[in-house]
Amino acid sequence: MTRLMQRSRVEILVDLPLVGRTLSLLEDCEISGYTVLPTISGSGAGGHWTEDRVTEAEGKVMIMVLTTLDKSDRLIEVLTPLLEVYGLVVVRSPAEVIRGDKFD
Amino acid sequence: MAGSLGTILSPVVLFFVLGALAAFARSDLSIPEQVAKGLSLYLLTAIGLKGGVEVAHAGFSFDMLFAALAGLALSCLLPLPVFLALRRLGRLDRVNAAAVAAHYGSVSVVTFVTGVEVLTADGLPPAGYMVAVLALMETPAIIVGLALAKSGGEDVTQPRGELMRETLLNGSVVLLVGSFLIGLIAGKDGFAPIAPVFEAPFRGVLCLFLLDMGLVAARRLREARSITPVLVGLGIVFALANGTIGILVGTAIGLDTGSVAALGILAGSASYIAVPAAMRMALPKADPALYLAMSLAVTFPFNIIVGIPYLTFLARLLGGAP
Repeated sequence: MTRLMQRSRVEILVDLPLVGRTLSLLEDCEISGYTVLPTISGSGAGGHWTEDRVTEAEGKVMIMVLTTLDKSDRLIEVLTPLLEVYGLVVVRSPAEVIRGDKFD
Repeated sequence: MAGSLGTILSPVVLFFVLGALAAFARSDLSIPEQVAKGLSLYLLTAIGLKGGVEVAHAGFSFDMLFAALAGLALSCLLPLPVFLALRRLGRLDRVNAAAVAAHYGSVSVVTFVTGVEVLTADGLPPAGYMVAVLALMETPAIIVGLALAKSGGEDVTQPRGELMRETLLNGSVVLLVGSFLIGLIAGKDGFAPIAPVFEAPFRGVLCLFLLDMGLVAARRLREARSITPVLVGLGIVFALANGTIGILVGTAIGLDTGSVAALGILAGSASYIAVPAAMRMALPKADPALYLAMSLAVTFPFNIIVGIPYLTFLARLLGGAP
Protein backbone atom coordinates (compact mmCIF):
# COMPACT_ATOMS: atom_id res chain seq x y z
CA MET A 1 0.00 0.00 0.00
CA THR A 2 1.29 3.50 -0.93
CA ARG A 3 2.19 5.55 2.11
CA LEU A 4 0.67 9.04 2.26
CA MET A 5 2.28 11.89 4.20
CA GLN A 6 0.54 14.84 5.87
CA ARG A 7 1.28 18.26 4.47
CA SER A 8 -0.43 21.65 4.24
CA ARG A 9 -1.97 23.08 1.10
CA VAL A 10 -2.08 26.88 0.95
CA GLU A 11 -3.94 28.61 -1.85
CA ILE A 12 -3.33 32.31 -2.41
CA LEU A 13 -5.49 34.40 -4.75
CA VAL A 14 -3.42 37.46 -5.69
CA ASP A 15 -3.48 40.27 -8.26
CA LEU A 16 -1.24 39.63 -11.24
CA PRO A 17 1.12 42.62 -10.73
CA LEU A 18 1.81 41.41 -7.17
CA VAL A 19 2.71 37.84 -8.06
CA GLY A 20 6.44 38.50 -8.16
CA ARG A 21 6.44 39.98 -4.71
CA THR A 22 4.31 37.16 -3.31
CA LEU A 23 6.63 34.55 -4.79
CA SER A 24 9.56 36.35 -3.14
CA LEU A 25 7.79 35.91 0.19
CA LEU A 26 7.45 32.18 -0.51
CA GLU A 27 11.18 32.01 -1.09
CA ASP A 28 11.81 33.92 2.14
CA CYS A 29 9.86 31.16 3.91
CA GLU A 30 12.06 28.58 2.14
CA ILE A 31 9.11 27.23 0.17
CA SER A 32 10.19 26.01 -3.24
CA GLY A 33 7.16 23.99 -4.30
CA TYR A 34 4.30 26.01 -5.77
CA THR A 35 2.17 26.30 -8.91
CA VAL A 36 0.78 29.50 -10.42
CA LEU A 37 -2.64 28.95 -11.98
CA PRO A 38 -4.62 31.35 -14.21
CA THR A 39 -8.13 32.50 -13.32
CA ILE A 40 -11.18 33.65 -15.27
CA SER A 41 -13.40 35.71 -12.99
CA GLY A 42 -14.83 35.90 -9.52
CA SER A 43 -16.52 37.98 -6.91
CA GLY A 44 -15.67 39.09 -3.42
CA ALA A 45 -15.88 41.90 -0.91
CA GLY A 46 -14.51 44.30 -3.51
CA GLY A 47 -17.14 43.32 -6.05
CA HIS A 48 -17.00 41.34 -9.23
CA TRP A 49 -13.73 40.97 -11.11
CA THR A 50 -12.79 39.44 -14.40
CA GLU A 51 -9.62 38.75 -16.30
CA ASP A 52 -10.03 41.37 -19.01
CA ARG A 53 -6.74 40.53 -20.74
CA VAL A 54 -5.96 44.17 -21.35
CA THR A 55 -4.82 45.92 -18.22
CA GLU A 56 -3.42 43.05 -16.14
CA ALA A 57 -3.80 45.31 -13.11
CA GLU A 58 -6.89 43.51 -11.91
CA GLY A 59 -6.24 40.08 -13.33
CA LYS A 60 -5.66 37.48 -10.63
CA VAL A 61 -3.83 34.20 -10.33
CA MET A 62 -4.02 31.38 -7.83
CA ILE A 63 -0.75 30.28 -6.25
CA MET A 64 -0.99 26.76 -4.87
CA VAL A 65 1.60 25.73 -2.32
CA LEU A 66 2.21 22.30 -0.83
CA THR A 67 4.53 22.36 2.15
CA THR A 68 5.01 21.35 5.77
CA LEU A 69 2.73 22.64 8.52
CA ASP A 70 5.56 24.70 10.08
CA LYS A 71 6.42 26.45 6.84
CA SER A 72 2.76 27.09 6.08
CA ASP A 73 2.45 28.69 9.56
CA ARG A 74 5.36 30.96 8.69
CA LEU A 75 3.89 31.78 5.30
CA ILE A 76 0.52 32.73 6.76
CA GLU A 77 2.24 34.92 9.36
CA VAL A 78 4.10 36.74 6.59
CA LEU A 79 1.03 37.15 4.41
CA THR A 80 -1.40 38.28 7.12
CA PRO A 81 -0.24 41.97 7.22
CA LEU A 82 -0.63 42.11 3.44
CA LEU A 83 -4.14 40.71 3.21
CA GLU A 84 -5.79 44.10 3.06
CA VAL A 85 -3.20 45.98 1.02
CA TYR A 86 -2.60 43.25 -1.54
CA GLY A 87 -6.22 42.15 -1.60
CA LEU A 88 -5.21 38.56 -0.96
CA VAL A 89 -7.39 35.57 -0.31
CA VAL A 90 -5.47 32.91 1.61
CA VAL A 91 -6.86 29.47 2.31
CA ARG A 92 -5.09 26.63 4.11
CA SER A 93 -6.25 23.03 4.14
CA PRO A 94 -4.69 19.71 5.12
CA ALA A 95 -3.37 17.56 2.33
CA GLU A 96 -2.03 14.03 1.96
CA VAL A 97 0.78 13.58 -0.52
CA ILE A 98 2.80 10.73 -1.95
CA ARG A 99 6.57 11.28 -1.74
CA GLY A 100 6.41 13.65 1.19
CA ASP A 101 10.10 14.46 0.86
CA LYS A 102 9.24 16.44 -2.29
CA PHE A 103 7.12 18.84 -0.23
CA ASP A 104 9.44 19.71 2.69
CA MET B 1 -16.93 69.48 -38.38
CA ALA B 2 -17.96 67.44 -41.46
CA GLY B 3 -14.56 65.75 -41.37
CA SER B 4 -15.11 64.92 -37.72
CA LEU B 5 -18.47 63.28 -38.50
CA GLY B 6 -16.70 61.14 -41.07
CA THR B 7 -14.25 60.14 -38.34
CA ILE B 8 -17.04 58.99 -36.03
CA LEU B 9 -18.54 56.94 -38.88
CA SER B 10 -15.24 55.29 -39.84
CA PRO B 11 -15.19 51.48 -39.58
CA VAL B 12 -12.51 51.67 -36.90
CA VAL B 13 -14.73 53.65 -34.54
CA LEU B 14 -17.89 51.78 -35.50
CA PHE B 15 -16.31 48.42 -34.58
CA PHE B 16 -15.53 49.88 -31.17
CA VAL B 17 -19.15 50.97 -30.83
CA LEU B 18 -20.30 47.50 -31.91
CA GLY B 19 -18.21 45.88 -29.20
CA ALA B 20 -19.56 48.28 -26.58
CA LEU B 21 -23.17 47.74 -27.63
CA ALA B 22 -22.69 43.98 -27.60
CA ALA B 23 -21.32 44.14 -24.06
CA PHE B 24 -24.15 46.39 -22.84
CA ALA B 25 -26.65 43.99 -24.40
CA ARG B 26 -24.86 41.17 -22.53
CA SER B 27 -24.05 39.32 -25.71
CA ASP B 28 -21.64 36.42 -25.31
CA LEU B 29 -19.48 37.84 -28.12
CA SER B 30 -15.83 37.63 -27.16
CA ILE B 31 -12.47 37.59 -28.82
CA PRO B 32 -10.34 34.61 -27.70
CA GLU B 33 -7.62 35.76 -25.32
CA GLN B 34 -4.64 34.67 -27.39
CA VAL B 35 -6.16 36.21 -30.51
CA ALA B 36 -6.59 39.54 -28.71
CA LYS B 37 -2.99 39.38 -27.51
CA GLY B 38 -1.87 38.56 -31.06
CA LEU B 39 -3.76 41.54 -32.46
CA SER B 40 -2.14 43.78 -29.86
CA LEU B 41 1.35 42.48 -30.69
CA TYR B 42 0.74 43.09 -34.37
CA LEU B 43 -0.49 46.66 -33.86
CA LEU B 44 2.39 47.63 -31.59
CA THR B 45 4.95 46.12 -33.97
CA ALA B 46 3.41 47.78 -37.01
CA ILE B 47 3.11 51.25 -35.50
CA GLY B 48 6.65 51.09 -34.11
CA LEU B 49 8.14 49.82 -37.37
CA LYS B 50 6.36 52.38 -39.54
CA GLY B 51 7.33 55.21 -37.20
CA GLY B 52 10.98 54.21 -37.26
CA VAL B 53 11.00 53.88 -41.05
CA GLU B 54 9.49 57.34 -41.44
CA VAL B 55 12.05 58.89 -39.10
CA ALA B 56 14.87 57.13 -40.98
CA HIS B 57 13.52 58.63 -44.20
CA ALA B 58 12.92 62.14 -42.86
CA GLY B 59 16.10 62.35 -40.82
CA PHE B 60 16.64 64.38 -37.68
CA SER B 61 14.78 67.66 -37.36
CA PHE B 62 14.35 70.24 -34.62
CA ASP B 63 10.60 69.52 -34.75
CA MET B 64 11.43 66.04 -33.48
CA LEU B 65 13.41 67.44 -30.57
CA PHE B 66 10.72 69.99 -29.68
CA ALA B 67 7.99 67.36 -29.89
CA ALA B 68 9.97 65.04 -27.60
CA LEU B 69 10.55 67.79 -25.05
CA ALA B 70 6.90 68.84 -25.24
CA GLY B 71 5.79 65.25 -24.69
CA LEU B 72 8.05 64.85 -21.69
CA ALA B 73 6.86 68.14 -20.20
CA LEU B 74 3.21 67.21 -20.69
CA SER B 75 3.70 63.81 -19.10
CA CYS B 76 5.37 65.39 -16.06
CA LEU B 77 3.03 68.34 -15.63
CA LEU B 78 -0.45 67.12 -16.58
CA PRO B 79 -0.80 64.89 -13.49
CA LEU B 80 -0.60 67.96 -11.22
CA PRO B 81 -3.86 69.74 -12.11
CA VAL B 82 -5.54 66.35 -12.49
CA PHE B 83 -4.46 65.45 -8.96
CA LEU B 84 -5.81 68.72 -7.56
CA ALA B 85 -9.12 68.32 -9.36
CA LEU B 86 -9.51 64.76 -8.11
CA ARG B 87 -8.80 65.83 -4.52
CA ARG B 88 -11.01 68.91 -4.51
CA LEU B 89 -13.83 68.02 -6.88
CA GLY B 90 -13.63 64.24 -6.96
CA ARG B 91 -13.16 64.02 -3.19
CA LEU B 92 -10.61 61.27 -3.60
CA ASP B 93 -8.02 60.56 -0.94
CA ARG B 94 -4.39 61.32 -1.73
CA VAL B 95 -3.31 57.82 -2.79
CA ASN B 96 -6.24 57.25 -5.16
CA ALA B 97 -5.93 60.76 -6.59
CA ALA B 98 -2.21 60.21 -7.20
CA ALA B 99 -2.79 56.83 -8.85
CA VAL B 100 -5.49 58.21 -11.16
CA ALA B 101 -3.40 61.32 -11.94
CA ALA B 102 -0.51 59.10 -13.05
CA HIS B 103 -2.84 57.49 -15.61
CA TYR B 104 -3.78 60.84 -17.12
CA GLY B 105 -0.19 61.99 -17.41
CA SER B 106 0.68 58.83 -19.31
CA VAL B 107 -0.69 57.75 -22.70
CA SER B 108 -2.95 55.19 -24.33
CA VAL B 109 -1.22 53.36 -27.16
CA VAL B 110 -4.50 52.18 -28.66
CA THR B 111 -5.98 55.68 -28.64
CA PHE B 112 -2.84 56.90 -30.38
CA VAL B 113 -2.91 54.08 -32.96
CA THR B 114 -6.58 54.78 -33.67
CA GLY B 115 -5.91 58.50 -33.87
CA VAL B 116 -3.02 58.02 -36.32
CA GLU B 117 -5.16 55.81 -38.52
CA VAL B 118 -7.99 58.34 -38.54
CA LEU B 119 -5.63 61.27 -39.19
CA THR B 120 -3.90 59.41 -42.01
CA ALA B 121 -7.22 58.59 -43.65
CA ASP B 122 -8.09 62.27 -43.29
CA GLY B 123 -4.96 63.38 -45.14
CA LEU B 124 -3.15 64.51 -41.96
CA PRO B 125 -0.60 61.79 -41.22
CA PRO B 126 1.46 62.66 -38.12
CA ALA B 127 5.24 62.63 -38.42
CA GLY B 128 6.88 59.27 -37.74
CA TYR B 129 8.70 60.57 -34.68
CA MET B 130 5.41 60.86 -32.80
CA VAL B 131 5.80 57.14 -32.04
CA ALA B 132 8.98 58.00 -30.14
CA VAL B 133 7.10 60.80 -28.35
CA LEU B 134 4.50 58.19 -27.36
CA ALA B 135 7.19 55.97 -25.87
CA LEU B 136 8.72 58.94 -23.99
CA MET B 137 5.39 59.93 -22.49
CA GLU B 138 4.66 56.47 -21.10
CA THR B 139 6.60 56.58 -17.83
CA PRO B 140 7.36 60.08 -16.40
CA ALA B 141 3.81 60.37 -15.11
CA ILE B 142 4.36 57.25 -13.02
CA ILE B 143 7.20 58.97 -11.17
CA VAL B 144 5.09 62.10 -10.70
CA GLY B 145 2.15 60.05 -9.43
CA LEU B 146 4.33 58.29 -6.88
CA ALA B 147 5.83 61.61 -5.78
CA LEU B 148 2.33 63.01 -5.25
CA ALA B 149 1.37 59.98 -3.17
CA LYS B 150 4.62 60.05 -1.20
CA SER B 151 4.35 63.78 -0.49
CA GLY B 152 1.48 62.99 1.85
CA GLY B 153 3.55 60.48 3.75
CA GLU B 154 2.08 57.52 1.87
CA ASP B 155 4.30 54.46 1.92
CA VAL B 156 5.30 53.60 -1.63
CA THR B 157 5.90 49.89 -1.34
CA GLN B 158 8.38 49.23 -4.09
CA PRO B 159 11.86 50.71 -4.56
CA ARG B 160 11.73 53.19 -7.44
CA GLY B 161 14.58 51.54 -9.36
CA GLU B 162 12.85 48.18 -9.38
CA LEU B 163 9.54 49.77 -10.36
CA MET B 164 11.13 51.68 -13.23
CA ARG B 165 12.86 48.56 -14.42
CA GLU B 166 9.61 46.63 -14.46
CA THR B 167 7.73 49.50 -16.12
CA LEU B 168 10.32 50.15 -18.80
CA LEU B 169 10.53 46.42 -19.49
CA ASN B 170 6.74 46.19 -19.83
CA GLY B 171 6.05 44.08 -22.90
CA SER B 172 4.17 46.78 -24.77
CA VAL B 173 6.91 49.38 -24.22
CA VAL B 174 9.66 46.95 -25.24
CA LEU B 175 7.85 45.96 -28.42
CA LEU B 176 6.98 49.53 -29.38
CA VAL B 177 10.46 50.94 -28.80
CA GLY B 178 12.18 47.88 -30.21
CA SER B 179 10.09 47.95 -33.40
CA PHE B 180 10.74 51.67 -33.75
CA LEU B 181 14.50 51.08 -33.55
CA ILE B 182 14.28 48.23 -36.05
CA GLY B 183 12.34 50.50 -38.43
CA LEU B 184 14.96 53.20 -37.93
CA ILE B 185 17.77 50.81 -38.77
CA ALA B 186 16.01 49.05 -41.65
CA GLY B 187 14.74 52.19 -43.36
CA LYS B 188 12.44 52.16 -46.37
CA ASP B 189 14.53 49.59 -48.26
CA GLY B 190 14.64 47.13 -45.38
CA PHE B 191 10.95 47.61 -44.65
CA ALA B 192 9.77 47.07 -48.24
CA PRO B 193 9.84 43.22 -48.21
CA ILE B 194 7.79 43.06 -44.99
CA ALA B 195 5.49 45.98 -45.79
CA PRO B 196 2.69 43.72 -47.14
CA VAL B 197 2.36 42.25 -43.63
CA PHE B 198 2.41 45.52 -41.71
CA GLU B 199 0.71 48.03 -44.00
CA ALA B 200 -2.33 46.69 -45.89
CA PRO B 201 -3.82 44.55 -43.07
CA PHE B 202 -3.25 47.22 -40.41
CA ARG B 203 -6.63 48.91 -40.54
CA GLY B 204 -8.57 45.64 -40.59
CA VAL B 205 -6.65 44.31 -37.59
CA LEU B 206 -7.28 47.59 -35.78
CA CYS B 207 -11.03 47.15 -36.39
CA LEU B 208 -10.97 43.72 -34.74
CA PHE B 209 -8.87 44.98 -31.86
CA LEU B 210 -11.23 47.88 -31.22
CA LEU B 211 -14.15 45.45 -31.31
CA ASP B 212 -12.48 43.69 -28.38
CA MET B 213 -11.70 46.99 -26.66
CA GLY B 214 -15.34 48.01 -26.96
CA LEU B 215 -16.36 44.78 -25.25
CA VAL B 216 -13.79 45.24 -22.48
CA ALA B 217 -14.52 48.94 -21.86
CA ALA B 218 -18.29 48.50 -21.76
CA ARG B 219 -18.11 45.47 -19.45
CA ARG B 220 -15.87 47.42 -17.10
CA LEU B 221 -18.24 50.37 -17.12
CA ARG B 222 -21.18 48.08 -16.42
CA GLU B 223 -19.40 46.53 -13.45
CA ALA B 224 -17.85 49.74 -12.07
CA ARG B 225 -18.82 50.35 -8.47
CA SER B 226 -16.14 52.79 -7.29
CA ILE B 227 -16.89 55.47 -9.82
CA THR B 228 -19.27 58.37 -9.13
CA PRO B 229 -20.97 60.66 -11.67
CA VAL B 230 -18.50 63.40 -10.67
CA LEU B 231 -15.56 61.14 -11.50
CA VAL B 232 -17.14 60.19 -14.82
CA GLY B 233 -17.49 63.89 -15.58
CA LEU B 234 -13.89 64.51 -14.58
CA GLY B 235 -12.71 61.65 -16.82
CA ILE B 236 -14.33 63.42 -19.76
CA VAL B 237 -13.09 66.87 -18.71
CA PHE B 238 -9.51 65.59 -18.34
CA ALA B 239 -9.63 64.12 -21.85
CA LEU B 240 -10.85 67.41 -23.33
CA ALA B 241 -8.70 69.75 -21.23
CA ASN B 242 -5.46 67.78 -21.48
CA GLY B 243 -6.02 67.17 -25.16
CA THR B 244 -6.61 70.86 -25.76
CA ILE B 245 -3.44 71.72 -23.87
CA GLY B 246 -1.57 69.25 -26.05
CA ILE B 247 -2.96 70.91 -29.19
CA LEU B 248 -1.97 74.38 -27.95
CA VAL B 249 1.55 73.21 -27.06
CA GLY B 250 1.99 71.44 -30.38
CA THR B 251 0.79 74.49 -32.30
CA ALA B 252 3.03 76.79 -30.27
CA ILE B 253 6.17 74.79 -31.07
CA GLY B 254 5.34 74.76 -34.77
CA LEU B 255 4.56 71.12 -35.50
CA ASP B 256 2.61 70.15 -38.63
CA THR B 257 -1.16 69.82 -38.21
CA GLY B 258 -1.18 66.02 -38.11
CA SER B 259 1.54 65.92 -35.43
CA VAL B 260 -0.27 68.62 -33.43
CA ALA B 261 -3.40 66.49 -33.47
CA ALA B 262 -1.36 63.42 -32.48
CA LEU B 263 0.24 65.29 -29.57
CA GLY B 264 -3.20 66.41 -28.43
CA ILE B 265 -4.48 62.83 -28.66
CA LEU B 266 -1.54 61.62 -26.57
CA ALA B 267 -2.02 64.35 -23.98
CA GLY B 268 -5.75 63.70 -23.73
CA SER B 269 -5.42 59.96 -23.35
CA ALA B 270 -4.98 57.86 -20.23
CA SER B 271 -2.90 54.73 -19.87
CA TYR B 272 -4.51 51.42 -19.06
CA ILE B 273 -1.67 48.99 -19.67
CA ALA B 274 1.69 50.04 -18.21
CA VAL B 275 0.49 52.48 -15.55
CA PRO B 276 -2.23 50.32 -13.94
CA ALA B 277 0.23 47.48 -13.39
CA ALA B 278 2.84 49.94 -12.02
CA MET B 279 0.31 51.52 -9.67
CA ARG B 280 -0.86 48.11 -8.47
CA MET B 281 2.71 47.32 -7.52
CA ALA B 282 3.76 50.66 -6.07
CA LEU B 283 0.48 51.90 -4.57
CA PRO B 284 -1.39 48.71 -3.65
CA LYS B 285 -3.71 50.71 -1.37
CA ALA B 286 -5.07 52.55 -4.42
CA ASP B 287 -8.25 51.02 -5.78
CA PRO B 288 -7.54 49.48 -9.21
CA ALA B 289 -11.26 49.31 -9.99
CA LEU B 290 -11.33 53.12 -9.73
CA TYR B 291 -8.39 54.03 -11.94
CA LEU B 292 -9.24 51.37 -14.47
CA ALA B 293 -12.85 52.48 -14.65
CA MET B 294 -11.80 56.08 -15.28
CA SER B 295 -9.08 55.39 -17.85
CA LEU B 296 -10.58 52.40 -19.65
CA ALA B 297 -14.34 52.73 -19.22
CA VAL B 298 -14.72 56.53 -19.38
CA THR B 299 -11.79 58.32 -21.03
CA PHE B 300 -10.84 55.70 -23.61
CA PRO B 301 -14.32 55.35 -25.18
CA PHE B 302 -14.83 59.10 -25.02
CA ASN B 303 -11.57 59.71 -26.85
CA ILE B 304 -12.31 57.10 -29.52
CA ILE B 305 -15.75 58.51 -30.30
CA VAL B 306 -15.51 62.22 -29.47
CA GLY B 307 -11.97 63.15 -28.43
CA ILE B 308 -10.15 62.22 -31.62
CA PRO B 309 -12.60 64.08 -33.93
CA TYR B 310 -12.62 67.11 -31.62
CA LEU B 311 -8.83 67.31 -31.34
CA THR B 312 -8.46 66.82 -35.10
CA PHE B 313 -10.89 69.67 -35.67
CA LEU B 314 -9.05 71.92 -33.19
CA ALA B 315 -5.67 71.13 -34.74
CA ARG B 316 -7.01 71.99 -38.20
CA LEU B 317 -8.56 75.20 -36.89
CA LEU B 318 -5.36 76.41 -35.24
CA GLY B 319 -3.15 75.15 -38.01
CA GLY B 320 -5.23 76.70 -40.76
CA ALA B 321 -5.51 73.35 -42.52
CA PRO B 322 -8.65 72.80 -44.70
